Amino acid sequence: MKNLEEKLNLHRGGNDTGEIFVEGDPNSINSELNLLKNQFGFCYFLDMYAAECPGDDFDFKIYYYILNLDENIRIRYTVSISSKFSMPSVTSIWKCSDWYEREIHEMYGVYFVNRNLDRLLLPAGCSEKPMLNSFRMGQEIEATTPFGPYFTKRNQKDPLKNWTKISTWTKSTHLSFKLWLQSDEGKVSDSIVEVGFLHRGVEKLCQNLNLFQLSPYIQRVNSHSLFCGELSWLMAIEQRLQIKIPPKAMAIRMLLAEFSRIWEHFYFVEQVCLKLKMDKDIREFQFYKEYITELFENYTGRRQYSNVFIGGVPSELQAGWITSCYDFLPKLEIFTSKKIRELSKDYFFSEILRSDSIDGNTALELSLTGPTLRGCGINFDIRKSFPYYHYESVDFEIPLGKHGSSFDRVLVRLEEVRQSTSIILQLLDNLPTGNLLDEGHEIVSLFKAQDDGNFNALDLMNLIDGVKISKDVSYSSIEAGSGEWGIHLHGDGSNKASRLRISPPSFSLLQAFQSLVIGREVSEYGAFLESFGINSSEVDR
Amino acid sequence: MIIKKSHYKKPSFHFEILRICFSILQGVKRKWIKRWEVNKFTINYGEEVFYSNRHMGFPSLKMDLGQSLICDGCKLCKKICPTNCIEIDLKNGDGNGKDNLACFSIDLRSCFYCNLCVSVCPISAIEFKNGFFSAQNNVDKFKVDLLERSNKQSPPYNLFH
Ligand code: SF4
Ligand code: SF4
Repeated sequence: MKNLEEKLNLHRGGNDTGEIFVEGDPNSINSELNLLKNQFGFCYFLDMYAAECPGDDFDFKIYYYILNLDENIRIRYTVSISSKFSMPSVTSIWKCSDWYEREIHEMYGVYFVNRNLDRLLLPAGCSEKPMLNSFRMGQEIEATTPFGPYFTKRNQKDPLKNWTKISTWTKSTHLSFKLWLQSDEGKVSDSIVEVGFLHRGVEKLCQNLNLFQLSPYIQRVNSHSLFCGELSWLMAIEQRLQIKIPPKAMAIRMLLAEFSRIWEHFYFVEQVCLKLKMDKDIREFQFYKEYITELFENYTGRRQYSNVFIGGVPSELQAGWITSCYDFLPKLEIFTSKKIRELSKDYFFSEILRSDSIDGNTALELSLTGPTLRGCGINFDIRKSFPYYHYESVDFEIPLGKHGSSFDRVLVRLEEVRQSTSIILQLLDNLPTGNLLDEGHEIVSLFKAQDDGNFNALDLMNLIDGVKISKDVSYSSIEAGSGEWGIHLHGDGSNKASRLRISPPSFSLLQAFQSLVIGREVSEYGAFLESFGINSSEVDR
Repeated sequence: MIIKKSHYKKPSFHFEILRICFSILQGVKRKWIKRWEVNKFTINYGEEVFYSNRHMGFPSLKMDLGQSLICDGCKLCKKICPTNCIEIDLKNGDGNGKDNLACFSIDLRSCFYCNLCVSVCPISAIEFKNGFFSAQNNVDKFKVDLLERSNKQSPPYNLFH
């Protein structure tokens, strides 16, 4: 433990990467993590994942990634284990590590003691461990039993009471998860969330592709956002390759990210209104969303996901784009203020949405992120705590809620839209000039049309294969619409990522929803669900 | 705390009832006025298609002023394509140069529209043009031969008909 204290002190002494590496002992993991949580204030659980380490004495490394909210320090706590070892579970320290441990068990076959390891992401009865290197891409998975533990749990627990299935094809759970609710006099008494219907294997795919080819795959992890996963990936890879993108490219990426945030916030407020059958409001939100998509398309050429590549941005802002932004943004601001006023004065809207509340402790224990966390009154935003690009120099505030109810979340979202509007206006007023690409780095020559025809195709071909990332681990995250969107990038000196871990916000949010929905009115679960901003395509691996 | 405290005040029930009555009256009034208005139908679809300048509809090969292809078959786009959906064949083995393409096709079923092939091409010989790819009744039609399309006189990208 002395070692740990020394490391922590060393960090405070001026090394400001914002991340500390700690090697732990798997046998004493519970006591050490407990100490970190209760004495050193690392109370926020960010992520937990495993990686195979070929060529080492150990089979797996398990990474715990935790955060101190007061001092903004992250700790990467690593334990190395052999495949026979039974890991102690940390669910008693962080309740939210439940799904993470189940995922590791399924994907790698690591066994955790003293806890039930139900199926989470893979088909029931599947015995393969798809994230292991021995598992080939495209290999077939055999699912032996059609019904998994969920079926038995439903039947055994309380066979007399009915379960209601709210499944993928009802409008309530858009995309891909199944929700089972058990009701008792109109209130939810138990709930099960079933995920894992997509099986894209995006993390496995990313380990088999060239670094340049990953961004289209990572874009599509989030299907309800214009531009977030991609930005996170670009930041990760640019940090590792030491590319410094010019200030103008930063500003343009920030513009796209803020428009994307507004779009996402409107989308989820619209979904809340949809669940409460407020048709008029939906149409208004849709109108503004459509306008934002058109602005986005005018820059990138597509309505969703940008074409921004490593090393900068591809093109200048179109003539007239800034003018149409100046026309549109004041209207957006007025509309949002009007909407905040209207919705808070709406009797039924606020009566229904104010009925629940989450306190700060529960929020931290369940590792909520984004507007959901800020709705509970906890001030944490990556843009303020770990500022990237120009966020340090623009002026904006972080809205906080009071009670952690759905009403707070809606208010926080709408208030954030106003803040984003002001960020965009500030950026447009002070748009930097200069290059769009980092001219100093070799890989930009790949994305620059050589007008004089002086190029050697073989050189460029080698460049695609030749970009290597160092043997190291790094984490980079951005503030997306519904929370912290992070990417852990492991390299092994080759031109592929040896492990790429995507940690989107919806994974912990959906897990939290499963326990928080208990005790609410059955008829109101829809609005409650939507106010979290969950996108279930992020949950599946 | 920038969310105003007044937003947290509970609206009164009686006020809500009044508000509802008012909005019903408003609706009735609007309906009454609308009686004399001529009904408008939705615009026919397909007549007014809005493209932004940078709309990415459909990949195609560029021609230079003398109506010959710019592409010299260096296969960089094939190399970077994440889904491996580009197919390039050259007429004489591995030597490159203009007019050397035997086949250049893209399988649109697996294309991402990620623009990587366009941004990587060193002489800007491939581009995305406006237009939409409509539904097809045969999977083979998704494998589009760009070479054949660029030889046609009509705009190669208009796939509506
Ligand atoms: S389109 Fe461009 S990158 Fe592709 S083969 Fe032709 S010249 Fe090379
Ligand atoms: S747009 Fe992307 S997926 Fe489609 S052909 Fe080009 S590189 Fe391949």
